[in-house]
Amino acid sequence: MRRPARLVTGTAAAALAAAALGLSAAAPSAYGEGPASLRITPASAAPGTTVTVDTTACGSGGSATGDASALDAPEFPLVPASLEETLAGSFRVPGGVAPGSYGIGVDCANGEKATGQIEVKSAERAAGSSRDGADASDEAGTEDPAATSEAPAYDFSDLDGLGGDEDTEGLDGLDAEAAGSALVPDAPSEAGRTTPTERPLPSGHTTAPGRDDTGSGQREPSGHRTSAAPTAPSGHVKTGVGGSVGPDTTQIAAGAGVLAAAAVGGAWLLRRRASGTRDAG
Amino acid sequence: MSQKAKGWLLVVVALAGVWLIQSGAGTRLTPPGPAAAQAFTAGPALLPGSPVAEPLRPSAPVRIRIPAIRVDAPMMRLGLGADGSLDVPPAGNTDIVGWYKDGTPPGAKGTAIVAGHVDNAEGPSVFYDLGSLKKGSTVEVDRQDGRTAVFTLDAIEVYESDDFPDQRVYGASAHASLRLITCGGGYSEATGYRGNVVAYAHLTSVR
Repeated sequence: MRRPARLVTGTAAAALAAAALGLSAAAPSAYGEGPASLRITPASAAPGTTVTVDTTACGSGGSATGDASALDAPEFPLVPASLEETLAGSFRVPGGVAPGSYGIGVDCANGEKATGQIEVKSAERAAGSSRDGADASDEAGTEDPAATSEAPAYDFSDLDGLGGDEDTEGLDGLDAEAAGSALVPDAPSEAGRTTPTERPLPSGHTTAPGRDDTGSGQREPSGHRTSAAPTAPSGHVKTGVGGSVGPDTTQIAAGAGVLAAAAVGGAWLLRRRASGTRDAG
Repeated sequence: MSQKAKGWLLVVVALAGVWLIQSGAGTRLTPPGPAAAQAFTAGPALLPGSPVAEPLRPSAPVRIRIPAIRVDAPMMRLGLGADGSLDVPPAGNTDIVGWYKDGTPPGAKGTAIVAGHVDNAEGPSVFYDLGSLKKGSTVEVDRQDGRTAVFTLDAIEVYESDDFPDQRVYGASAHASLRLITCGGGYSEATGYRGNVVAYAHLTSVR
């Protein structure tokens, strides 16, 4: 009455292998070659504002140089901040910068890179609420709100341009995620994606054909994705192998308890019968 | 009660014990599944009467909490497998939840996809009790930007693998939506779990 060990083990091995693949695929893009995320506070600022930039991309210790040349601002240093493994620095948005999204880059001393973007508000708009600013940056920087709900026509070349002059190998980390927010949805016409190789593959570093298959939507059961842009997942998710499926141990324990009680009762009864016989005789 | 009657009573009790053990061993206890009443009544919709919070700017999630089922786990990034399905966290870690890194981060506008194991080969895992959540249950996601996105469950449904509604689960959303996915839908020794349990939620407040 044990669980089907062989089957379960087989499935488990497959799941473990898949998980291992997933890990090895995810790790490099999270910590490896791709530019990592940069947090920019405030994300939306008017000319003249001092902006803080921090990142965990550089690991612990070390230092980094910030590049805000897109804004015509001088290079700025990033130094270890109070948070573990975080480097932080700040720069001032020069006066006279036109409103819009600008890419900010950070080059770590250890060779890692991080990119992010800042939304520069117009001077009048600076007085407005930060929500306005955030919306504006969404529109300008990452996604068209209309596209989010219907046909996310996400233009990667645009984003790459925003990523900064030197960091054009693609935006991984948060900004890619930001961009991806428009992409989880069904994406019938993401033809705007022109730089398929510039971005770490969602399906990991297994094989290019695998990714092409995924991207082209050929294997989508519902067949609704047609481009090579990052796609939403499809189908069943393999989140269990059945190791928790098994006999009702509570009931078995109860049964064992009842049996034990019966045994004790039986022994007691036999003893009484024996002593009763002796008394009578 | 006569000795004889006591003897028979003991026999009955012993038989009952044997039966309990036998049927207990024969039972296949599976993770809890959602009741039909927890499904959407007429297609996906926000839980009536629940607030709708303004979506946040995208920021990666770092931790997820589901108080109703005592989940409090770190979050990792997930990509896609070669077959286009969502990757899963390492099976050996029973206390980690993944999110689809190329999609919407939880709290931002769109559909954020989060998955966790119901079990591994050894026993229950982080999302074992996901199927026992109910409409109105809350899910909290701590994000890298320091905000906590609080979601409220709109419904929880279960699907067979070969009938998985991609569009319904992964499709676009005008709100900051969240999907929590784990295995479920019955278990067969030959093919494992027959499907997935999917919880639908939307952002109702931000801390």
